[in-house]
Amino acid sequence: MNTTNTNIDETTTSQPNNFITNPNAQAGLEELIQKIEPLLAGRRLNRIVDLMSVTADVVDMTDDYMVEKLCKGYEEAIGGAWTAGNIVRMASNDVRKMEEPPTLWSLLKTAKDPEVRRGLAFMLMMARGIGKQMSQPLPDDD
Amino acid sequence: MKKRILVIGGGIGGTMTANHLVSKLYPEISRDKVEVSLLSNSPWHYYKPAFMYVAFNKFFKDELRRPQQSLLRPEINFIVDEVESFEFNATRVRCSSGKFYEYDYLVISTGCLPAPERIEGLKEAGDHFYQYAPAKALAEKLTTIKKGRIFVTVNFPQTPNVPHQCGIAPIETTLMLDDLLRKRGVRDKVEIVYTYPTVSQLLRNCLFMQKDTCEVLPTIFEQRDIKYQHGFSLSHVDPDKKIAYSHEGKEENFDILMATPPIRAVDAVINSGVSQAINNEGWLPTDHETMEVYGLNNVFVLGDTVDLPVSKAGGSCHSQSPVIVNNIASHIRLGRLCDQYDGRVVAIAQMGLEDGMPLWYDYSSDVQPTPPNKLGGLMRKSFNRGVYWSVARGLV
Repeated sequence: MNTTNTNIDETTTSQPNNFITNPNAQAGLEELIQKIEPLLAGRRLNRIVDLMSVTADVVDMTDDYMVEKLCKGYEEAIGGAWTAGNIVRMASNDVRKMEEPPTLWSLLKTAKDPEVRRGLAFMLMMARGIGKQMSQPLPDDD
Repeated sequence: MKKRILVIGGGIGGTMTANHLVSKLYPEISRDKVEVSLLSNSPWHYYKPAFMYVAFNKFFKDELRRPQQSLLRPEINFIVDEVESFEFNATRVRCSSGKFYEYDYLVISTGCLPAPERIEGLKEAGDHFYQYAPAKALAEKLTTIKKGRIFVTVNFPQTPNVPHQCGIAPIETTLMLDDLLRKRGVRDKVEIVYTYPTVSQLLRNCLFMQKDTCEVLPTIFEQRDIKYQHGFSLSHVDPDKKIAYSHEGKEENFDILMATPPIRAVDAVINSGVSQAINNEGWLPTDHETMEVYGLNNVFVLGDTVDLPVSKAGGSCHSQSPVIVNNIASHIRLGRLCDQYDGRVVAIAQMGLEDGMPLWYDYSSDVQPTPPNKLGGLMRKSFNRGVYWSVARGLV
């Protein structure tokens, strides 16, 4: 037996100007009002209005320069995390393929690979950057 | 035996497809059963839609490009070389270096090229914003013009029902132009005339290639005092007299001719002999669902090189690329294709310098224009400056 509620079809095909006379729409609206009622009584709906107001303020205050700076930060953060993730995934896959752990000598031999040497140089350059950041002593309290 | 997937083209289509292939086929790649290579003629990846902004002094060169390698997963074998010819029977491509690259699966994403030289006088007298150098040259003119007439023309490929590059770009730039001239305080002395050809894909005598958008455009233009004409199909240009002539018999003078020029596929694709497009335009015959090239085995195509009626833009690549990735993965794993492209194109149109309008359409439905607003503009600007690079990396 077909138990489909044909009223649903009537709802979806009704015109917007019939909305208020549509019994299903009225029932839905009533349910929504019941849901909102405690929020209104407790003044909690005001917070939602405040939130919308703040959102509108943010949109109005945002300009091209702010978008440019935020997006630069976004790209650097995502790009950095993505690159680091790629390196970890590739390295772990290479390590998993090793049947036995490499000997100390074979580890040293990997430095023959120019890409490994470039990677090691990167680590050392990072150490230089860290050192530079820490090169100034903590200023005295004035 | 290891399956070799070769992606040709370092634009957005090729880059996101190569990255997505690695992610989708990682189990096979980690066991050395699949290898993904990307072949590009440049070590740089350019965000092509930003050339439009260069014409309005909104982007510097280094802001719209990144080293290609920095956008690729390290599992991808990245090769800088230019394809000279496709040897489909031998399943390989020959490059300008003299090297051959063999494949089991080929993805062609070589884009298209502006070809203003295909209309007499257009290259000498016209300007466009579809490449960096022409956009920079146009910016010089737009920032110095004090009075006169800017004439906008749009030229479609002659292959039936194939659109020009980035469908909404002529409208975007016309509105940006209006805003720029108002900011400069010269708008009342510079006339802007937007025109559209008689034949625009399936429509005739319209202002845009889709009916709903076409109907709202007169109101938008009138609010900004932008003149508009339909039925102007550029025939030739007299660079000395600065007059544009149409096939319909009209002639229009200009101080700046801002044209969406004719386009064509790259030489290697045109010379492949596979295209059935007229006027030597080179579009590849594309299965509109599987994205395979008709008549070839395991060869897929996406982006500007297809002969489909959808926009030649990154927003099309974004929906076509996952279909190709799924179909290649499915063919390797199940021996059959499993996914279909529904013609979906998603974009955020830049409607003037500040506002934006998100839009989408597919084979069965057109764009439903909505009121452009600042929030849409911020979305577009965020995409330009940040999200695009995540899309290229296959993260979005």
